[in-house]
Amino acid sequence: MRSFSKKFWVGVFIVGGLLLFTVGLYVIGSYNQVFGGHFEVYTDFVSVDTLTKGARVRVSGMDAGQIGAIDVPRNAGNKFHLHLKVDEKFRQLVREDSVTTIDTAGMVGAKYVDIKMGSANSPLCNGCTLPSQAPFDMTALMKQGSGLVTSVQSTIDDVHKHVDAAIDNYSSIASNVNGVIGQVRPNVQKITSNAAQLTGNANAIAVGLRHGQGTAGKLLTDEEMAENVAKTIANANQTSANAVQASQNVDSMISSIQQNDLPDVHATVANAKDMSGQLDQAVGTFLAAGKNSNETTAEALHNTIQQANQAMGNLADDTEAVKHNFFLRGFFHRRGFFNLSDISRNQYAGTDFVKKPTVRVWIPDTGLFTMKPDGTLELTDQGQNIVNQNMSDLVPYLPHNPVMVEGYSETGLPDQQYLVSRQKALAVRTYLQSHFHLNSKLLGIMPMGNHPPQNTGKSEWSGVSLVLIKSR
Amino acid sequence: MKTIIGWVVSFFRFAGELGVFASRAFRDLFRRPFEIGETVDQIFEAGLRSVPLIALSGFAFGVVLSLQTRSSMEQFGAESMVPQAISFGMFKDIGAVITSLLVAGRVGAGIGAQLAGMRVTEQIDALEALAVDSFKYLVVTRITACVIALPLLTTLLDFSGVMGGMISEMIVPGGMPAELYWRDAFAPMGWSDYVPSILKTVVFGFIIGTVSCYLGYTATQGATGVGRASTRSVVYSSLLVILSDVILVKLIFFWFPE
Repeated sequence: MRSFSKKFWVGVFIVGGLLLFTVGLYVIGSYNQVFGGHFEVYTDFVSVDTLTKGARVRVSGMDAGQIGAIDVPRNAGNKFHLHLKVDEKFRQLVREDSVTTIDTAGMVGAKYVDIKMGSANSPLCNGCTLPSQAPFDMTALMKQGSGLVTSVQSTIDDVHKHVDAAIDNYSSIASNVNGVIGQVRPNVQKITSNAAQLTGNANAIAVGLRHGQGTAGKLLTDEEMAENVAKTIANANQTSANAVQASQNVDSMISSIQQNDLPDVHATVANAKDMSGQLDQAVGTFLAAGKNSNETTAEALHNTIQQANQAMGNLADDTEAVKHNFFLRGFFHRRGFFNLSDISRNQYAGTDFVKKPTVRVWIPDTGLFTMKPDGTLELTDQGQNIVNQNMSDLVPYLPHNPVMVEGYSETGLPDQQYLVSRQKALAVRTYLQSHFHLNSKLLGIMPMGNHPPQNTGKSEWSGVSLVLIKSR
Repeated sequence: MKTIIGWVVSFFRFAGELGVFASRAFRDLFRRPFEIGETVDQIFEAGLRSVPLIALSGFAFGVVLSLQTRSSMEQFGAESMVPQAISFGMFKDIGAVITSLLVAGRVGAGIGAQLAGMRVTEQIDALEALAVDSFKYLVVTRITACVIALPLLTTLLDFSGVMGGMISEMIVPGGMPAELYWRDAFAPMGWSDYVPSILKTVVFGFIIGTVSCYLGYTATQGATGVGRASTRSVVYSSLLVILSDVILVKLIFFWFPE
């Protein structure tokens, strides 16, 4: 029994082992189309790209068979001839226009032959030789990739250089901006200070007005004063009427005198006395102190004008500062100047009037000026003609472009040269302003003494020079 | 110097005696009496009793091979080649060698110890006295059992390894389903990858059986000789299996170039 049992198990072992071996044979054979029906097609390749017998064959990406054989070409000009065993179920897909390629399963997978599905109009391939496409050359791709990497590296280097340059530029710009901010800061602070002062002045004026200071304030708050002013005006009207009446009376009196009618003269004198008295009353009312203040109307009016002058002065300073601020000075730079009436000789040397004038004419002072009784200069008639003639060069650019009248004097000490040259420039300016109706803001004077600008080619001059620049 | 010469002389003497022993065994494989009953017993002992060891070892080896191969393949995105790597590794060479080494360790040692024990206890002499051809009865039957059992065990170990790899691939994250694994494992294979590697284990079985039987059949020096025969059976069998595998692989490449 034991022997039988041992034989039985040995039989199981042997048969089972052989069955397992057979299963392996069948599985491998079935995947290799050994047992199933297949048909054979052919294709040619210049390079088989490591393909071997038994390599996979796919039809449009699906496993369909294997390479049955590879015929090595007999001559160098021929191609490798591949025998492709394809499963029978793919027969309808493989047409004579199907193209074969050698592909790789993944980046490092095995090579296989792929047969592209043919067109429906093409006949079935029964033992035909399919057209092939050259295999994908990984080495060539790697070379291209290497070239691409080199190109990319070069591009990155270029970009890096440009970025570095851009960063340098930005650094420079930032440095410049910092410098500009540093330069602007005092102006801004000045503007702020002036604005604060202006606001303070305005506030003070408003407070003064609210508290009845000054004439305007009193007019707003002091009813008595308002009544006084009204009365004054009424009195003034009355005075005016009386004056008219007096004038009529004087006329009548003169007429009466001329007609020897003396009683009218007496009446007229009486009316004149009356008129004088009413005038005295009106003036007294105007000069009288207010009910609630020791300040007379005239004093109040004087104070108000002084405060207004101070406020306007501050306002002028503020507007001048604003002109130099970062946002507005571009306009004045493009115009070529900030304020022609307030510019020093050093500042003037840096303007376009000196650096690149559009028109510059030189007028000698021979017969140009005459001295008035008060010691100042004015143009003679001949001088006016000379100026008119020289203005012909400037006229095409008038009236919207600025003109500077430079005065020159060679005589005396520098202070005398300054004063005389200023008078010459002032005389010409006065004439130009009145004769050519030029805008006073666009017409400036510059006492140059005896120092013409260097780029004019003149070392000394006596007379005037008219300079015009075109505003940008 | 004398020692080295003695070793060389001993080596060639051993090789010559083993060759003569193997020739006799190979010749007697095809001579009557075939001793079927004893052969079946030896197949039972060498083959059937080795099934659990072989199946479990193959399964474990497949799992390990799957995990190791996957970790390597993942580095260049070739996880889909894991089944192919396992099947090719198991079927083409590793399965045959592992099976042979396992059998050499388990069966070869047993044969060497058993025959050596019979030799030193004069049981073989007793068989001879009973007119029994001890060589055919003890040696040929064991060699036959190894020759028959080893290809079957190798097939079992190969499939166990593929199954272990399949289960591993089904479990690990990013693995693949069984059907896809099965197809990817066997689709790239051909019979030339499968049959020669199984058949070469016949040679391995013959080597294991012959070496073990020779060392046991010619054992001397009592109990010490039994232990020496057992140890040497394993060592020499394993060594000769690996060395012969080098030659067989070259022969397989020669006969099946693709």
